[in-house]
Amino acid sequence: MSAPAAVEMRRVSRHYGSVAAVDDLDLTIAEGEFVALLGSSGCGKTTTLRMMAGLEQPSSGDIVVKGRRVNDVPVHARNVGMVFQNHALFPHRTAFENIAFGLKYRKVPKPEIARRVARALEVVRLPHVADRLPSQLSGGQQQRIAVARAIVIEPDLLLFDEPLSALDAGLRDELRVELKRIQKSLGITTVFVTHDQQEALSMADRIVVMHGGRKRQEGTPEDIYRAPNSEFVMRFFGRVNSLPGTVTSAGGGTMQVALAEGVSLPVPGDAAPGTKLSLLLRAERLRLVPDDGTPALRGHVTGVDYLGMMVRYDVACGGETFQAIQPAEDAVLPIGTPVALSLRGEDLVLS
Amino acid sequence: MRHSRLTLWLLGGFTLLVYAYKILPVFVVVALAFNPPEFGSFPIVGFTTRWFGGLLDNPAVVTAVKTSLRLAVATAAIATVLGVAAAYALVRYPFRGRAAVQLLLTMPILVPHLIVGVGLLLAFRILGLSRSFTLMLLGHVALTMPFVILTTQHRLQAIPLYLEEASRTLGANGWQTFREVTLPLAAPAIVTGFVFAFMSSFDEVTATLFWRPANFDTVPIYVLSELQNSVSQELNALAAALVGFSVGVPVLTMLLLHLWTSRRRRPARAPEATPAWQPATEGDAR
Repeated sequence: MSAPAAVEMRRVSRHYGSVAAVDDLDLTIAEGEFVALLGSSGCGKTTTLRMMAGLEQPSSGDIVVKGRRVNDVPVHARNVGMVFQNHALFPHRTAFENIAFGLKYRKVPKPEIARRVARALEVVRLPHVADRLPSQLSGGQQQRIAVARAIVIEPDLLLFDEPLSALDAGLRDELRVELKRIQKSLGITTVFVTHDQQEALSMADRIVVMHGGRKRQEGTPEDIYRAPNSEFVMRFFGRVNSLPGTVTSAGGGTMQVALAEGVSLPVPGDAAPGTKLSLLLRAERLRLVPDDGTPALRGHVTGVDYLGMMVRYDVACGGETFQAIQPAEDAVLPIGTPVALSLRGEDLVLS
Repeated sequence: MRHSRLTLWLLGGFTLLVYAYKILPVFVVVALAFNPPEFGSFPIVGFTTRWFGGLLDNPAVVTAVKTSLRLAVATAAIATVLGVAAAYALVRYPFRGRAAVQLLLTMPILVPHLIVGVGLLLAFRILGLSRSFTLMLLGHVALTMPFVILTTQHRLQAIPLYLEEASRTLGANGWQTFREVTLPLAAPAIVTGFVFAFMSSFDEVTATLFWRPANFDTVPIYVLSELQNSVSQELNALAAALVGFSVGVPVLTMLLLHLWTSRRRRPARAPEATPAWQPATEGDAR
């Protein structure tokens, strides 16, 4: 084995009374890696982050940083940089003083503090705000200063607790790119907690999907999006249709599945002929096409949600309603339009 | 609801009457204190400050003032240190019996001072201790600490926990975090609590009467005991000075606190215009 992992959680649990916020979690993060903990509120992602920081104590299990068990190391001795949801800048200190705060406790000599703070301000592209109080900065600037304050101490581990969720949409996208750039250029091991799948997909090297205090799946953003290991994970990344089908033949990793209205598709998987299946299909993989008379699932539009770049349709088909998300390049189909549904076998996932 | 003009006039008039009833006697004392005649009485026939000058020549008054200041400063100092510690514990730590401790510590402002006075004296007697400056000091600390606790607690509740957490992740231990983050943010409330404690100790009469050693006068007690002899012009002057002090100190404190906190909010220097190269979304610097 090469260098020890930057962070390891070994069978970590955190109980509040009889409730397990984090339940027997194993997690290994490599040096320089950017990991997103993704889940809805109450899934244990924030508790996990706070245990890494030392702000919460695990009920059981070990937290190991660079090969050293840190369970009993107090927060101030852990050398973690943390960025909070609401920036958490000290309101009575200027931007400069906020950033210098951590350096003071590391006994860095004054001239070097000035140099490193100036450097950190350049990294977050705010070299001109050093003398301002947090109340004189915009929301985006405040969060950048909070990032500067966390990276200037050269932490072993950089922790983000939903740092973008308090910002408005435009600013959020901009800062997302910025954070990614800073993380890559400094190479700091980073854990990013979010409930926003877009954020996780676009920023992280690896995503850990959490639910009920447990890890549901981990992998690269592409892995998780393309090959979700469960309906739960699949639904986390968008709208999902569920189609009933029956296996008609199988062999060599591919089976022929009969859907309604004489449609039959090759689907990856192996099940005995005659097996009834429930197949999952992302809304953006279901295409609406003109009805050309060939065997197809047919229906008509019952709902239109125009999103600008995309249009989301509800389509009644048989007894079911399917959702289809299409690029808005063609004219929007009015409600009542008869359509045929086009889908590819390789996009179907067994539930 | 609409009020007729008459109702408003009646309401305003009644309010004025209530205030007059409460405050006019104070003005009477102050006005008489500047009246030249030997015996404090109306009409006002002139203006003099000689009764005030006379106070400084009266050793009993000077001693009483020194005693009062010594007691009030010591009381406020101890009550502030203990009160801030108690407030911090009550706000930040969910220990068992917190509600009971809260009630116990703030009880003295609800209980009549007479009861507190007799109670503490009896407790001292049981312990075989006699009346002393220490007894007065302990009693005043118990009576005034609630002011510090309540003002500080209120402020601490408004300081978000994540500020202290941020400080700790940056390398400050518990005490450093308290000193560098919590204390400066709570300072205006703590100063207010200190002044409250100081003033209520300085003005306290009822309980102090039970605790003071013989011939040991604070200013209000000196006034009270002299009143039993006669209302002299010197006494009016002392009372007027007491009024001035009791009103002046809190008002001055409020003014200074206002200046202090508003300067902290004002820009250290005018924010520069946002440079043109900055993304438009950053242009809303407040």
